[in-house]
Amino acid sequence: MQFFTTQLLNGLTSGVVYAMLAVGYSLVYGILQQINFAHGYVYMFGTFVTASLITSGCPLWLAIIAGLVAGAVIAIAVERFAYRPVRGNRLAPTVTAVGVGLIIENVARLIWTSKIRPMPFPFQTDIIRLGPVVLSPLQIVVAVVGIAMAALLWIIITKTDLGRAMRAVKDDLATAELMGVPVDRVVVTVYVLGALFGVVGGILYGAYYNTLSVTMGFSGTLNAFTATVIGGIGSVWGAFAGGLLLGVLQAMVTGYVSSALLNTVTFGLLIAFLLFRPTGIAGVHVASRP
Amino acid sequence: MLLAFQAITQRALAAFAVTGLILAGPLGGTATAADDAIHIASTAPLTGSAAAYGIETMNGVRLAIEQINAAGGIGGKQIKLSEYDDQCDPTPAATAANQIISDRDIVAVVGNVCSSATLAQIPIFGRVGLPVLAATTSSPALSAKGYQNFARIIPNDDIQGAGSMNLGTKVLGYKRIAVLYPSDDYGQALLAIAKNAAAASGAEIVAAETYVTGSTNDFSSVLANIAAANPDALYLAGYYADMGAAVSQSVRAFGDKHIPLLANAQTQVPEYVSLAGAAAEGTWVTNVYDINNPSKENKAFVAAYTKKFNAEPGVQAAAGYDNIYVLKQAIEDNKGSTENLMPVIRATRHDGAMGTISFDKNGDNVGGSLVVLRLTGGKWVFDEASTKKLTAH
Amino acid sequence: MAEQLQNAQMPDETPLLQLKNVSVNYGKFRALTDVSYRIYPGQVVALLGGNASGKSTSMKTISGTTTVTAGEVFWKDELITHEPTPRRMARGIGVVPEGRRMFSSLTVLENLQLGAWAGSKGRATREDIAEMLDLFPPLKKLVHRPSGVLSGGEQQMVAFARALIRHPELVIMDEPSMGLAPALVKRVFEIIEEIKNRKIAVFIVEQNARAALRVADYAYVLAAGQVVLEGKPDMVATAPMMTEAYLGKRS
Ligand SMILES: Nc1ncnc2c1ncn2[C@@H]1O[C@H](COP(=O)(O)OP(=O)(O)OP(=O)(O)O)[C@@H](O)[C@H]1O
Ligand SMILES: [Mg+2]
Repeated sequence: MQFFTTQLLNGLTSGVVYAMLAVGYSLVYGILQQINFAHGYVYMFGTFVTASLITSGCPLWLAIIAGLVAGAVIAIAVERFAYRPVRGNRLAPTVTAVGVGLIIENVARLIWTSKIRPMPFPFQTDIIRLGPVVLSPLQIVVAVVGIAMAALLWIIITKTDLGRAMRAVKDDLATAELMGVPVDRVVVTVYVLGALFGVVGGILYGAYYNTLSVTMGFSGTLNAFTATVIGGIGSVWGAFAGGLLLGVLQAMVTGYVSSALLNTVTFGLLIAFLLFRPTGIAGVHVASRP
Repeated sequence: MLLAFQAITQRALAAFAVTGLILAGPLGGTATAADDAIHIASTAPLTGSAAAYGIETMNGVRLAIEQINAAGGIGGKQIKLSEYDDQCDPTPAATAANQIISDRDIVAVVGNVCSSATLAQIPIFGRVGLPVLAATTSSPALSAKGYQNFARIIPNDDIQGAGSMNLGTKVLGYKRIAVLYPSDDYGQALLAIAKNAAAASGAEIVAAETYVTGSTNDFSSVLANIAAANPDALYLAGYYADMGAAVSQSVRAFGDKHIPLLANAQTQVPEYVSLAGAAAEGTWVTNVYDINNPSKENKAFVAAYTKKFNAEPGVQAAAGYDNIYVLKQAIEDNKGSTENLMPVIRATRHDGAMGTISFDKNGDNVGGSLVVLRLTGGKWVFDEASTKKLTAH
Repeated sequence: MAEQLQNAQMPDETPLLQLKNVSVNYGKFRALTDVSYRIYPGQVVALLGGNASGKSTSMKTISGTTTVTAGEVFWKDELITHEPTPRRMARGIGVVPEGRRMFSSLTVLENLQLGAWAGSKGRATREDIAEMLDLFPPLKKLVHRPSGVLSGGEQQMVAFARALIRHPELVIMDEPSMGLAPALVKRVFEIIEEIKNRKIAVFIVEQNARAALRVADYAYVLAAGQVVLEGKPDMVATAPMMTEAYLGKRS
């Protein structure tokens, strides 16, 4: 029971991180029906800005804000130069996205080298005992941030003018323009929101696992992307559900089956969903959900 | 004057040469067969991507030869070295080997750095029964083939790999070992070695957890498994960055319980320490050489090397240096003869800069020269007592 | 040149919207040739013409969703020929698009809020919404229903309300009665009367020429991308070419 609880908490923690990273895919796909292949690189860069500032002694809050700003700025640039010129085209954005992704990664390598780096963060070595279960204060931070970010996203999407405009653009981009909706700005905002969630996810990742590498933009994305597909690509609530489900499943497979099967299970799940249930767990068609 | 002229013509020839055959020829001055010297050849990468290793190895080789010749040679005979560049590549390596066997005066080959290049050469040397005493080649494949003309100075990967496990079980007395290893070939090989080493010393592998390197930095679940298995020690059989991340996360899995950490040579890098943080303190590693080894042989070597090259020697230099002294001792043990040298080399026991070098029936260093270091106050510190205990076995 | 039955619409005022000698090409195909329209404040202007005559293309020229090959588009005194769609629509133009074009996952209320948000007056007030629900009482029960599930007639009401809630100076509509039952078609023209009463200008494309001419203050007739006739509705209605070629067939 204690072991089960520990693994459940481990799974939920990584699940929240996956969910944060997955939002950037789901939001963009949900609204523009486009897989945001540059996402991983964008949040990697923002996270590295935060990590390097923390390392150089900058106050934590400032480092986090700087990382978020960097992520947002890069997302704006990527949207402007890689996506907007080819909007509406099915294949071209994939190519341009991978292209800018590689540019971002190489710039990151130039600045921070390819070395894997730690990310100092408060509470990293503290533990809390709840009976026999050992908990990290950072797990509480991750949970609180995860819940707060989910609530924030829910409010933005369902309650604000911007969220309404985002959903309108998703339903019918051309008519949204006819209504005077500044579609270009709404689209940029979608990318920026995705990037901000990604950077938050990246910072939680760096803080909790104390390890960052510039390759996280590519390899670290597998889990986030799998979570997106499990939840139903295009559904931001699905991204959260998929993230938590994947995290817990991985922890349980590791705990009760074998750590050797972990990637097999993850890839298997990804492929199985893509083949047999491309609409994800909820099984609702993309076009009808926020 | 004549010598200088010869050297110039030779260089001019080399410059005009278009075939690798001539390029791979001896780089030093050619000696005539009539002298009464011991002729040996070296093959190491002197150009190309592995040149830095080859050149450092050769520095060790040259230093040892210089010392021996200055002290009167071996039984009064000077050592004469012909240097060949194998570029760490099987093709030029084979060309060099063919050059070497055409020189009837050469009695042994030394200095090898690259396993793939050496693998291409051994059968060629074998045709004329020429002994190869390699410096830092470490692939187990070299000795696994059962070549009769091969021995090497540093312990192969398997023997190195078993070092940390042997330290844990035989020296430190741990009975329940957990292993964390990457799922790739390297990790699988280390796991197999760990299992053999545990079985040989009556210890038990209580948990073997794996991960895909580069695809995750989340070790929380595998560490929870390891903690649940209640091991005496954790063997870190992976890449330093992954091991650093895992160790930094281990505090949460183990709580206040201290788990001793055993690691491989490749973990002995500053990055591991900076990633793992305070939790890494006390990590044990075994390695093939340590510059701070306080043995008198190593102190003398480090002093001479630093004086001559104005640089600190690494494992390459030490292996090259010991390479020549092991050969010298074998020839002396063979009563000054260079005939039928290989069985004598394999029976040689030599206290060198690296440690005590002796060989098994395949020509592998049995591990008597391994060194033990411990992370103390964030620094890797040579542990003399544990080194003695480990190598006494 | 077009046959001009009445000299000027309102010679003293500046038109709210004006197309001057506009031509539009789709590749090599010329869909509009040298057309000019003027819409004055508060005026209902009908655009008539047979299939493929260029009516929808004219609408797109106003909304900026097609590129003008030659000519100019003015909003009041400002040249807007190349202004992006959202910006020019935000100047005070409401649109009832062809085929209604609901934001189907948005509720009726959200459709209305969105219509107001991107208009010239900004966010919808409680009063704005109440006013629209009074204008279209059947929507009262449907405010929280996703608009995608509504009937065609209900959607048309939402489309009108969405265009009107932003307090536009001009509403453009492309075949608003298309696909509706006769009773609803009648209702549509009642609504247009209502809009006219509010002193909002209307530019309407209709195949139902009789009904359109009944509410219009002025009309243009297109054929093969050219204005072939324009003038007061009664004049247009009685023009020989109309009764023969166009109105006659439909009545
Ligand atoms: N995007 C386009 N590309 C090419 N040709 C087009 C395009 N849009 C319209 N056309 C052509 O331009 C001409 C005018 O089209 P338009 O839609 O303006 O006609 P319309 O008067 O609205 O017809 P309807 O009464 O059938 O709606 C038609 O011949 C049409 O085929
Ligand atoms: Mg039309």
